[in-house]
Amino acid sequence: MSRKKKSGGTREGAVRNNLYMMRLAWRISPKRTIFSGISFGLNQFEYLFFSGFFMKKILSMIEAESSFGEVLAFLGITAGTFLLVFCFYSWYQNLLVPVTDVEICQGLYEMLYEKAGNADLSCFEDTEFYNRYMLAMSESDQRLTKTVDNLWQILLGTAAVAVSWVMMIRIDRWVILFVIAPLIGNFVFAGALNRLAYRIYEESVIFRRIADYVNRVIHLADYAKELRMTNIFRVMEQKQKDAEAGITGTMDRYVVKNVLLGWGYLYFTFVIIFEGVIFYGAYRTMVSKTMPLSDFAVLTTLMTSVSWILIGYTKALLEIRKNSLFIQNLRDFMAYEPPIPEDSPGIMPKERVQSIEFRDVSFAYKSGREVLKNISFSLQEKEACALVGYNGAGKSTLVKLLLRFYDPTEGEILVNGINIKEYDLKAYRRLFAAAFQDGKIFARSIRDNLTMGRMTDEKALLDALSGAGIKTLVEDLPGGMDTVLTREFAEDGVVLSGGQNQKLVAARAFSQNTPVRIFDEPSSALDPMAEHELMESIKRDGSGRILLMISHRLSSVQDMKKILVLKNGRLTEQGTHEQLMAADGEYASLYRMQAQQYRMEKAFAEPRILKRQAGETPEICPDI
Amino acid sequence: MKKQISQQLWMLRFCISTAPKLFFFNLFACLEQSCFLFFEYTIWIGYNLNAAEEGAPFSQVAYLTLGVFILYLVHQFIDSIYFQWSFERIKPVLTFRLRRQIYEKARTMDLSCYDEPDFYNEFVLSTTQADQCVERFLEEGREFLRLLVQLLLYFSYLMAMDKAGLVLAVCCCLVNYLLGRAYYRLQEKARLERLPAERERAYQHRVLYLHEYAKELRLHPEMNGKIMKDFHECNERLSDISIQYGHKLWILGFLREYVFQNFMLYAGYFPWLLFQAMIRQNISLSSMVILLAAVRRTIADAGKILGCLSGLTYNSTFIGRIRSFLSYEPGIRSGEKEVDASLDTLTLSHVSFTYGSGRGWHGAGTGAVEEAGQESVAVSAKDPGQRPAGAAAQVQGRVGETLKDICLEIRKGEKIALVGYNGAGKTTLVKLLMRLYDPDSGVILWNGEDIRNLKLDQYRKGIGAVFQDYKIYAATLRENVAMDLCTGQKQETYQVEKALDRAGFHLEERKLKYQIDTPLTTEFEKEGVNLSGGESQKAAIARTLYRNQELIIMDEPSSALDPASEYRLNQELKEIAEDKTVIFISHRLATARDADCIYMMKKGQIVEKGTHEQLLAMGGEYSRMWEVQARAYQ
Repeated sequence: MSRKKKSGGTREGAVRNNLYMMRLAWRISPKRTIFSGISFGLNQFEYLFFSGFFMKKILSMIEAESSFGEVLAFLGITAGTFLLVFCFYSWYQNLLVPVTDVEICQGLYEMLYEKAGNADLSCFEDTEFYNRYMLAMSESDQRLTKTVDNLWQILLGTAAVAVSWVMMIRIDRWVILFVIAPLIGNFVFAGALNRLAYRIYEESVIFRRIADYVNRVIHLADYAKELRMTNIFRVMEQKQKDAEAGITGTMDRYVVKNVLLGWGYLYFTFVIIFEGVIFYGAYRTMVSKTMPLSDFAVLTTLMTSVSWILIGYTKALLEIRKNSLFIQNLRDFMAYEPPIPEDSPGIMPKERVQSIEFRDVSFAYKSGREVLKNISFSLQEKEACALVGYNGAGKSTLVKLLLRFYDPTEGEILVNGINIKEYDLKAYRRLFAAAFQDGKIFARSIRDNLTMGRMTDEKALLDALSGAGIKTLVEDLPGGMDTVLTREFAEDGVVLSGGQNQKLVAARAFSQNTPVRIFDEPSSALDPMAEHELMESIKRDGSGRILLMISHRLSSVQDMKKILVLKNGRLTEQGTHEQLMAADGEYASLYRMQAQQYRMEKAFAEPRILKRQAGETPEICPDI
Repeated sequence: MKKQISQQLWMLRFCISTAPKLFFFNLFACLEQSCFLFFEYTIWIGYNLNAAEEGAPFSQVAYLTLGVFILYLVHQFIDSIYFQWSFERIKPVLTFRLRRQIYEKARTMDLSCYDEPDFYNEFVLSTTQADQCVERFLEEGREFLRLLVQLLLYFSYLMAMDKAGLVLAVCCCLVNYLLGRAYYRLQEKARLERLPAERERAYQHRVLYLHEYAKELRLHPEMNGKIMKDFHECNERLSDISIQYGHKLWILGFLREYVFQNFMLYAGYFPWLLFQAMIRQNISLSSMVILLAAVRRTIADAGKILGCLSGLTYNSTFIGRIRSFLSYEPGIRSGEKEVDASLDTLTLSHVSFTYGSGRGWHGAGTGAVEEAGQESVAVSAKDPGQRPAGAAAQVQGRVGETLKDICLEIRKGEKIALVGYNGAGKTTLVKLLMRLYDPDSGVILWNGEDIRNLKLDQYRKGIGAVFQDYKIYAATLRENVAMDLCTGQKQETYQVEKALDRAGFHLEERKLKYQIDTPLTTEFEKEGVNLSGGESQKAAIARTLYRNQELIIMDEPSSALDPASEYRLNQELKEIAEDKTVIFISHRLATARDADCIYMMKKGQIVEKGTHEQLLAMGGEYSRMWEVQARAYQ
C-alpha cells in the first residue's frame, strides 16, 4: 500500500485516479455524470455568449443599420434559447442533484460496505489501514460528485479557454498578448502562493491538532470528572493558548512574502489585462480608428471572462491533485484482497462439533508484534474450558482465531479434525455463539438484538433472557420484547446501563442453539450476586456443548473440565483445577492470591514470593 | 427575525471586542473592494466607451489610465493584505477566544448536564462547531456587506442615470425577494423533512463501517443484511422527499433565475434601451451598454444577497446555541467560606437525591435537536470517538438511580467501604461527596459545615479521587502528576518525583529521555511516550499522592484488571492510604473486608453497616453476597 501511496502524488497517477473516479461515477449514476457535464457546458456557453458575442452582435447590427424589428427578433431568439437553458439548470439543481446524491450515496456505500464487510478483522486493527480506510470512507459520496464536477470543469474549461482566445483574436490579433498577464498571475504567482499556503498549513498543522485535542478533552464525558476535581483544565487552557500563538505566529512569519505574492497575483491577473485591454481598445478606436465600437464594447467584457475562466481552470487543476490523494485511499481499499474473504466457499461443517484442536498456533500482527506463540490444545464434545491469564496475554486473540476473524500465521486450527480454512466461512461461524466483553447493542428492538435477524422461537428468547437475569426487566418495559433500544433515533428508546447491556449480550449468546458457546469476560460490569447468577446460567446452559470462557474470576472457572493459562502469548499450563493446583505454578499462585483474600482469618501474612512475582508481571496493556 | 438580528449583533460585538483592529481593517477592505468594483465595471468602462463614441481627447484617456494603474497598485496592495493575511488571521483569534469562553463555562457546568442527552448533544454540537460558526459569520457577513454596498451604489447610479432602469430593477428585486423567500423556505422544509432519515442513515453508516461493530456483524450476517436493508429504505425515503419537493423547487427556481432576472432584463429592459437608442436616439450606444450591465448586476446582486441572508439565518441558530450555553448558570455554586485544612468528620445526614430533578437545562430553541442528528453525521465522519449520540447514551445509564435518606459518618483516618448491587447508588453517593451534584434534601457536612457554604474549588481540591477511568493527558509527565500548570521549580520536581516513586513508578528504571518532563502520548509529540496500562495507573495514583489530600475516594480502581494486577494495586493502595481517610467502592468484597466500616447499599439505601465480622454475624445481604463470592474459594 505504501508503494501505491506515492503514485497518487505524481501527475500521471493523479490523472489516472481522477479517471478512475469518473468511471466509478459513471457506473453508479450515469445520469448525474452526463448531466453534470451538460450543465457545465451550458454554463460556459452562457458565459461566453453573453460576454463575447451577444453585445457585439447587437452593436454591429445597429452599426450595420439593421431595423429595430430585426434586433428585437434576435433578442427574442436569445430569450427563447435561454428559457430552455435555465429550465434545464433549475431542473438539474433542484431535482436531479438531490435525487442522484441519494443514488450515489446508496451505490457507492453499498459497494464500500460490501468490501468492508469482506475485509478480515486484522485490517481494522492495523492502525495504518484503518486510518486510511476511515479517510476513504468519510464523505466519499460528496468527493465523488466533486471529482466529477471538477473533471468537467477542466475538460470544458479547456474548451472555454480556447474559444475565448479565438474570440479575442478575431477582434484583434495583438490583444491576445494581454493574456500573458493572467497566465503569469495564475501560474507563477498563484503557484507560489499555493506552495506557500501549503507550507503554512504544514507548519501549523501540529498546533491545530493540539487545539483539537484540547477541544476533545473538554467535550468528552469521560474527562468531565477529572476536569472538575483537578486543575488540569489550566494545563489544557495553556496548551490551547500556545496553539493559537503558534498558528497566528506562523501566519505572521510569512506575511511579507504572502502579501507581495498576492499583490503580484492580483495585479497581473486583473489590473494589467483589464486596464491594458481597455486602454488598447480606446487607442484603436479613438486614435487609429481601426476598431468599431461594437468590438471595443465586447473587449471590455471579454477580457473579464478570460481572466475568470483562467482562474477557475487553474483552481480545478489544483483540485485534481488534492482529490487524487483521497481517491488513492479509496482505490487501495477497493483493490485490497482480504486473506479471508467473508464469502469464502468450502465444505459445509457438520452440525455437531466433536473436537476443536489448536496445533502449534502462532499469531502475529502485520506490524510484527507477536501475540500468540505455539499454542496447542484440544477440546472434546461437551467440554467446558476456561481461558485465564493476565491482561494482554492473548486470550481474546485466541478466541478471534477460533472464530476465524484472522488466520494463524503458523500452525493450524482443526474442528472435527478438519482445518477450519476448509469450511465455508459463514456456515462455520454459525457453529458458534459468542458474547464479547465489548458486545454491541444495536438501535433496534430487544427482539432483534437477541435474534440478530435469524428466526428464533419466542420461548427460546424468553429462556435466554431469564438465563441472563433480565427477563423481569424486559417484561416490565412498556413495549416488552419490542422495545427499541438506545435513543439513536427513537425518542422513547430505552437506554440500558452497562450491566444490563452485558446481560443482554449474554442473552444473545444464550438464544442461539449452537454447538459451541464463547463468553469473553461476561460479567465484568456486574455486581457479585448478578455475576454469580450469570456464571451459574452459563454453566448450566453450557452442558451438552463446548463452552469456552475467558474470566478473571478464578472462582467461577474452577469446576471447568479444562483450564488454559496464558502468559505472554504462550500456553503455560493446562489441566483441571486440581491438576493445576497440584502443579503449583502460575495458576495456583493466581488462585491463592484471590482466594486468600476470602479466607476467614483476617490478618494474613503477605507472601513475599507473590510480591516479587507481581513485580515481574508484564505490563498491562489493553486486551486486543 | 428580531431574534436573528440580535444573534448577529452579538457576534458582531464579540468580533469587535476581541480583535478590533483586524476587524475594522477587514471591514474597510471589504467596503473599499465594493467601491472599486463598482468603479471599474461601471464608471471606468463607461467613461472609456463614452470617450470612444463621443471622441474625447485621447491624451485625457491616457492620463486617466495611468492614474487608474497607479490607483490600482494601492488598491490591490490593500486587497492582498486582506486576502493573504487579515481575513485569515482574524479567524484563529476569534475562534480560540470563543472556545476559551466556552471551555471556561463547560468546566463549571454541572455534571448532571452530561446525564441529559439532549443537553449534551447540544453542548457538543454547538461548541465543537464554534469555529465553523465564526467562519460562517465572517464569510456570509462579508458577502452580505459587499453586496449591500454594491446594491446601494448601483441604486444611486441608476437613480441618476435612468429611472426606468431603477424601477425595473427594484420590481425584479422585490419579486425575486418574495420568490426567493418561498424558495428557501421550501428548501428548509425539505431539509427538515430529510433529517430523521438522514439521522437514521448516519447510524447505519456507522454500524456498517466502524470497527466496533465488525465482530458482531461477522458473526451475525443476517443482522448485516437487515441493516443494509434499512440503509436502502432510508435512501428510498430520502429520494422520495427529494422528488416530492424537487418539482416545486424546480419551478420556483426557474421563475426566480430566469423570468425575473434574465427574461425581464433581455426581453423587457433591453428592448426599452434599444428603443431609446435606435428610435428615439436619446441615449448613446455606450450608455446603453453600461446601463444594461448595471441593471443586470443590480438584479443579480439582489438575488445573491438573499442567499446570504438565508446563510446568515442558518448560522444564527448556532450563534443562539453558543450564546445560551455561555449564559448557562450552573446549579452548583461555590460558597464563601474557607475550607478547614484538616478533616475531622465528614457527615451525610438524611441525604436524598434523584437524577434529573429540577436541574434541567433549557436549550436554545426549537429545531436545534433535530439539527443534532444531521450534524452528528459530520462529526462522526471525522472522529468516531467524538460521537455525541453514543456518548450521551452511555451517560444516560445512570439516570433513574436515586438515593434515599442516606446517613453516614466518617472520622479522620477511617476507612469505609461501599458495597452492593449494580445501580444501588454507590457511585452517585461519592459524586455527591465530591459535590459534583447537590442533594435534593439533607446535608453533607465537612467538619460540621454544610459543603454548599464552602469554596467549591478549595473543597474539591481537598479530595483525591481514583477512578477506574482515569485519563492520561497529552502533556508532560510532570503536568500529568501535578494536574496543574507547572512552574518547573526544584521543589516541585522533587515532589513530583517523590510521588511517582511512592506510587511505584520508578523513573530510574523507566529511563525516560527527559525525566519527568517527558511528553506523554504520541498524540502530537513524536518523542512522546505511551505508558502501558500499569504505568498509567501508577501515574494516576501519583496524582493523589502529590496533592497529599486527606480524603481519598476510590471507585472500583481495579475492576478491569487481571487477578495479579488487581492484587498488586490493592496492596499499593492500602499502603498509600495508610494514614488517610478513605472511602472506596468495590464489587470484590475481599478488598472491602478490612474497612473500619462497610456500608451495604441496595436500591439507593444503606441496608446494613458494620465491620466485616459484624455484618457476617448479622447474616443479611452482605453475608449472602460474601458467601457467594467466598464459597468458591473455600
